[in-house]
Amino acid sequence: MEDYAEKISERKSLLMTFTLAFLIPGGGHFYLGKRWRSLAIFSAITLLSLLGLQFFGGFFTPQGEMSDQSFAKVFVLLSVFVQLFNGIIYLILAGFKSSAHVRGIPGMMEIGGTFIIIAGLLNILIIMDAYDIAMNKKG
Amino acid sequence: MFQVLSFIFLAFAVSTIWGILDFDGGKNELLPSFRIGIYIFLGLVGMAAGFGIIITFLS
Repeated sequence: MEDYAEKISERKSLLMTFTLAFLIPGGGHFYLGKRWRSLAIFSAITLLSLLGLQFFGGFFTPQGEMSDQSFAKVFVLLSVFVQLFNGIIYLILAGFKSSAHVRGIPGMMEIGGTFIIIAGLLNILIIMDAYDIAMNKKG
Repeated sequence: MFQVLSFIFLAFAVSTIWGILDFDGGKNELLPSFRIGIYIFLGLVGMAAGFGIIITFLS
């Protein structure tokens, strides 16, 4: 039975796992046969990133004495890079919604940015988890 | 109020993913992972509340 399970895992492509995990949060786990885990991951990450998009007003940029140009650019660059890991649904909706952000609730704009950054960072961890499962390091 | 709810949701999402990342396949691993998820949630909310109280007293 264990040999059979190992054969199934060997047949799974690592590139496919990475691609699916990058495009759809939990997609890598779904491909590897971890259906319930992938459902929970997809719900949590997608909800987090879409709510973040709803509230989004801008990423954190250093203010005051710290607002040195190059320093501020590094922060924004990292935020935008991490944003790419939120999945294809988020990226498509972010393209459509780029000029229609919800405003008016004090403090919510930066919370939206934080949601998006944390969803992206969590998805990077999930991609690494899918890699571990694909390499049989984890069940 | 909205900010507090959004933080609680954020803590819930992070602890859910933490629990899933901790989960290691077997059925006997399910309960410890679930427990770790709850600990992380309570830890995040407790830490935020603690910082909130300290900042309120300091300001």
